[in-house]
Amino acid sequence: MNKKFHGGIHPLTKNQEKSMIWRNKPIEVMPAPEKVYISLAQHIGKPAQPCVEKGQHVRVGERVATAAGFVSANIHASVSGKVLEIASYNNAAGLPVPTLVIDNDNQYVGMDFVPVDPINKQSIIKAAEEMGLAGMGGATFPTHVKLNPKESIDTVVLNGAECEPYLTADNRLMQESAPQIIQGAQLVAQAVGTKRILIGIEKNKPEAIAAMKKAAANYPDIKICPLPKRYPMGAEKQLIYFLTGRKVSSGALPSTVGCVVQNVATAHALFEAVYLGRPVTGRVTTVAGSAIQDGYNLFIPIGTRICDVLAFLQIDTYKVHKIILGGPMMGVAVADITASITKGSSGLLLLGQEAAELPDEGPCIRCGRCTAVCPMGLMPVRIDAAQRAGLQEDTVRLHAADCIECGSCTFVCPAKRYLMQSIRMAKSHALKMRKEGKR
Amino acid sequence: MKSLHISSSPHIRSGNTTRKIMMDVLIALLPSVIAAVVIFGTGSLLLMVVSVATALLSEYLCCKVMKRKNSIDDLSAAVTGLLYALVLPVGAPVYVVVLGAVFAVVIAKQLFGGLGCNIVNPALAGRAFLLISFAAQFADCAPRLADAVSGATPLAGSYVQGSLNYWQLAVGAYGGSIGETCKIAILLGFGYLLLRQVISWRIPVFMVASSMLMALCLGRDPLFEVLTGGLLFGAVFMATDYVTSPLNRWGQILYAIGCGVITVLIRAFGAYPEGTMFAILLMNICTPLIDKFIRPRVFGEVRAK
Repeated sequence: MNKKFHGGIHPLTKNQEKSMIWRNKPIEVMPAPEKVYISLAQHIGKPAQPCVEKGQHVRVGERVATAAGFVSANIHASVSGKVLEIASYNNAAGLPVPTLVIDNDNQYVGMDFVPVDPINKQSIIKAAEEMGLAGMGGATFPTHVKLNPKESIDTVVLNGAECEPYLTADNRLMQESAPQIIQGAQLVAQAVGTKRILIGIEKNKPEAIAAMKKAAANYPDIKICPLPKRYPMGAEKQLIYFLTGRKVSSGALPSTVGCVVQNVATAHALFEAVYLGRPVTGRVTTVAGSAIQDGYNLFIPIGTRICDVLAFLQIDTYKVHKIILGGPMMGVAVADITASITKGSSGLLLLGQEAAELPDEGPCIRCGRCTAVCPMGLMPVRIDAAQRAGLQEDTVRLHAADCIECGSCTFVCPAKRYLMQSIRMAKSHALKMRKEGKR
Repeated sequence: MKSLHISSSPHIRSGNTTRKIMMDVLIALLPSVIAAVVIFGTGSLLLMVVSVATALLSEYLCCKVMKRKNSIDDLSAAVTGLLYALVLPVGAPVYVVVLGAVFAVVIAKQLFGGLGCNIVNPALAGRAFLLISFAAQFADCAPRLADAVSGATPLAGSYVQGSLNYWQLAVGAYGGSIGETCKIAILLGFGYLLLRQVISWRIPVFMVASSMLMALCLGRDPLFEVLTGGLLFGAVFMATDYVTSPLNRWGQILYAIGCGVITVLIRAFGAYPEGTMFAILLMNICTPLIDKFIRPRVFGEVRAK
């Protein structure tokens, strides 16, 4: 279809893009640290309920917490050892979350992983639920819920865009595990009752495109679609629009237009859950940033603290002035270095002093760049002005609820206004109004 | 690491700044500045220096008095001062130039809240103020070039249409405001602004096209219409002012058409020979209204039932 969405930006200059020398570095496996701090709130929805006790010995892959409610996910041990405590520890944003601490005995005694048999719609969804799958692109929406939509689905969209600058984890995963990802995608398709699979990959990853094309060569229903290099190409609605020409309505889910979107890493996890019977105990994370001038694609066990990752890579912490969990456009600034890696941690960016400094805000010159780049067709300048003036009703009318928080407006603003920050506040109010059915 | 910076995403920003944009506008005005000095002599240089200096000083004093952050380093006042000077006739006395520059920066810009808050283009407001208050001092706009055609602006009717050919009009060696006569210099500046993506082509192109169409409708020579007076300078440098033009493209198109049509209407039926300034000022005032009613379509927006 190739329907380009309106707006968007190129966050990196050609030179900056060239400096991403780690983009083709093979995935290294990081050994688990002495203790792992497994957060029980790794996914969107309610925190999981612990199902092991303090002092109990657990094995790798053993379920340590059970999903609490419909939108929630199981959590599994990433090491074997004794459960030291179940207590409150800070997450990356600095908020206390229930956390399970396991003392690593370095034996890595594994569970007996049993592949799913027979493979059918129900058993795939059940495996996703059992093995604690949650969207690994960063949004961490529980996968089994996504695989069970009310509407009928005719297209599976696999998201390999990885449009966030500096992140290369999906790029490497697609190169190293293309056949597994393809099989994972077929499992997604089987679960939602369709055959058609569209896999979108940004053109700046030619190696990944080639590897995936090779792996999908024998499957006529799978199409690898190179995407234009334009942020936010990997945003759900924009990706669906480009690949299928369908527009997801304001406030609706992709399933309303017959699509299910899964990240390539999630498809890989589904492959492991079904064919190997393995839960999610680790993930590929890109570690990069101006503080280290280099980057790594690391397979990190879930529950590894950020400070343990820095210690493993022998990074001089005095050079690190800001840490971002996720990508530079949408990631969270880390408030506590003892926060741990979760299922949604696609990147760990370490910024030096210069990159960490915040620009001073100037007056808006009404240049209209924010409006021109907004992929959702909003007018960020007006939402921002209304929010700052305390006119929250106006922000609702200006569709603040439709903001996808991609940050393009704030990126391009020559006056360095903190648009995203005030639009986020407006959005939370607008979403509340939408929920209450007032609009 | 002693303490970590935290902030709301996005964590990277583009290298573009307000100052860089203003600097680009100044660079784009350079060909017009050079053309002005060549055609109208060193008197025009004095005019520009006085105007820019007055604008910067007014901005500085305003910020002091109003206890605002000093904003002269964003260069917006320098742009206002230079734009204002370029739309003046070479014979304008120094006290008139100073008065207009002060009016532009203090009344039209700072009293409305400073950069980004003004309703009308400050440079044009300054000129409009002068034109109405000091009409007599505006008479001397003759070029100082040896082989130039002397006299008032061709639009004032002292030329029979056709006494200057199109090429002469484009080069600009005839009477008029110092920066407005040389169309080639203006187009050079336009090219630079487009190249640097400071402005889009929409406003200038739609403004010029609509004025030509309007002229055609009224039985006037469309090319003569564009090549005389301040239409082209206004379309490239004045109408495209971010602050006083609409935010999104459809609004910008409507605004530009308004500018073009009103310019020709004033020229054809108004009391003044030139209408660009008033047309742009009028459309400036309409901008908040345009922005209110014309907004981009939200992705996936469902029409109200």
